[in-house]
Amino acid sequence: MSEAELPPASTSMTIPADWHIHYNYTTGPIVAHFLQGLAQERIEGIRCPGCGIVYLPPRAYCERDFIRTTEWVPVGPEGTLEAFTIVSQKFENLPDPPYVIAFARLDGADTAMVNFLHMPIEHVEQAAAQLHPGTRIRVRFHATRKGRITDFHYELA
Amino acid sequence: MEERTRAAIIGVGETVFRTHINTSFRELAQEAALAALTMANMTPNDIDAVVFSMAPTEFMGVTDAEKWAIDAVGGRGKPYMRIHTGGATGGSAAQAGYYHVASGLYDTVLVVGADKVSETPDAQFILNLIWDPFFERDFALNTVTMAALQAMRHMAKYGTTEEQMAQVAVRSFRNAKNNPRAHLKGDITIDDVMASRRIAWPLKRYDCCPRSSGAAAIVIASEHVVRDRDIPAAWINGVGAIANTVWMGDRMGPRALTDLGDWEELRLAAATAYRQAGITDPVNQIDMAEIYAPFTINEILGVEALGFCKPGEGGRLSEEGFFDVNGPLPVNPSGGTLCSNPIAVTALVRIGDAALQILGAAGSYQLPNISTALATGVGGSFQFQTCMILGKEPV
Repeated sequence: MSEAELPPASTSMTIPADWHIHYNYTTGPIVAHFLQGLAQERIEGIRCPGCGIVYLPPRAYCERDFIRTTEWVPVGPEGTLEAFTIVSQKFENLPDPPYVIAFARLDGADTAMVNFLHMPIEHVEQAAAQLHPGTRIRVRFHATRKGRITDFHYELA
Repeated sequence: MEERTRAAIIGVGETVFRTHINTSFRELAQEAALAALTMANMTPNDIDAVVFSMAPTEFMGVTDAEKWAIDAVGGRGKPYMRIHTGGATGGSAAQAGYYHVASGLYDTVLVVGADKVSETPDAQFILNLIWDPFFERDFALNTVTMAALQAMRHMAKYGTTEEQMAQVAVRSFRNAKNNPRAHLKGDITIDDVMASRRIAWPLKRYDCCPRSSGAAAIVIASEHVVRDRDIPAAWINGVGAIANTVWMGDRMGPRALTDLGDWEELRLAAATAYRQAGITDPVNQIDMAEIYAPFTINEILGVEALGFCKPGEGGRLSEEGFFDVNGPLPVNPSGGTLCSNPIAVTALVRIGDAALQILGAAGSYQLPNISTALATGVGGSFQFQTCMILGKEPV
């Protein structure tokens, strides 16, 4: 930029930039077992031998007793809604609205896990009025599965 | 407490908070640092150590931006550390600064930070990246949807209404009119809030904070520095901090240890701070509070968790004016986080604004007769909680 093209000293400038970064996330064996189960339409929590709590998502150690979890436990396919929101605003790089984000405790699990809850959303208020903590939901596996958490979604039971 | 060196805030610096500020990150941090030092009647040479308040730097597109600001805030040649606990960063940084002095190892500490959240339009995408990549990130979790989940649980449990949340926005915007640094402000009505664009049910546009740029700083000094210099001081009489599980789904259901819809982690953090500060009756002993509430529901959850009222009463008391600037316990007279959210320093602004009230230096939003003030911070998926009690006199 020549001196003549420089903006006045009192004027700020902005310099654009973009980040494109690639990663390979290591799952560890517990998460790998779980995700491989999803590919076979199987959802398993993991039980703490101390307090008996069944964790979903599964984890290698009970985070309350700090002892190794040992026993895989089949959970679902139905469960209980604990929390939800209905998104009607588009966020950059996130899905097109509307959609329902739902935390549900699958039967046999003590903790709730998040997924999309598929349901008709004509009016946000009307859809919200159908949902409460305690509403029953079920897991619906997709025809094509890749061993990812996105292999299924929730729907109303 | 008996082993601690007493410490106090003797300087506060805050820039204006806006979407676009024609000032670079370094210059913003410098502006706040110099303002805090000026108030403390100090120069950078008087500072023993620097704590830099820096949340995720992806908002600015600079990794580890704390190093970028070392020279600008007078950190060269001194101990210097970054503190990062998400939205609670400013609260944790202030506590780290306090520990420096309370330990007896340092006499004067500058706690400073800056953020330029508005340098990317992708803030909620960046915030989505704080969630687990195997189980959670795919489902559009971000801070807005997180707060919506909390609001929904509080509504289901206690009958809290969207109108009660709207009232928090009305009051915050009204209070912010008195704060020349606040980002959003104005006269809005409950109807305006209710009619504003839906974002994530039950939250609407006015229930949500803006993306702000800006900077803040405080100077913390030991008791003998305060006495030697004979300078006004806001004494740090209690600090509490609690971390909780990353899994929001662990905070729901019969076996949950804490409930996402009750902000019980903040209750625990406050209990520690209250014990240190000798507070047994918060409503009568605390004169004002700056509660970190980026969404309207968080203020309702906050007043309940801090023991200002019973669980479930926050919405009703808010409607009745209990937390108004002329009410029994003013909350967020600055307009709060709902009106200005420069994430890396938002919790530091809460502390700075509480300290200004104690020091009688809040200018156009000064409240009368403030002897004890409270400031909180929260970060992550409601994982990091900080609570600080400031007093006109040391305990």
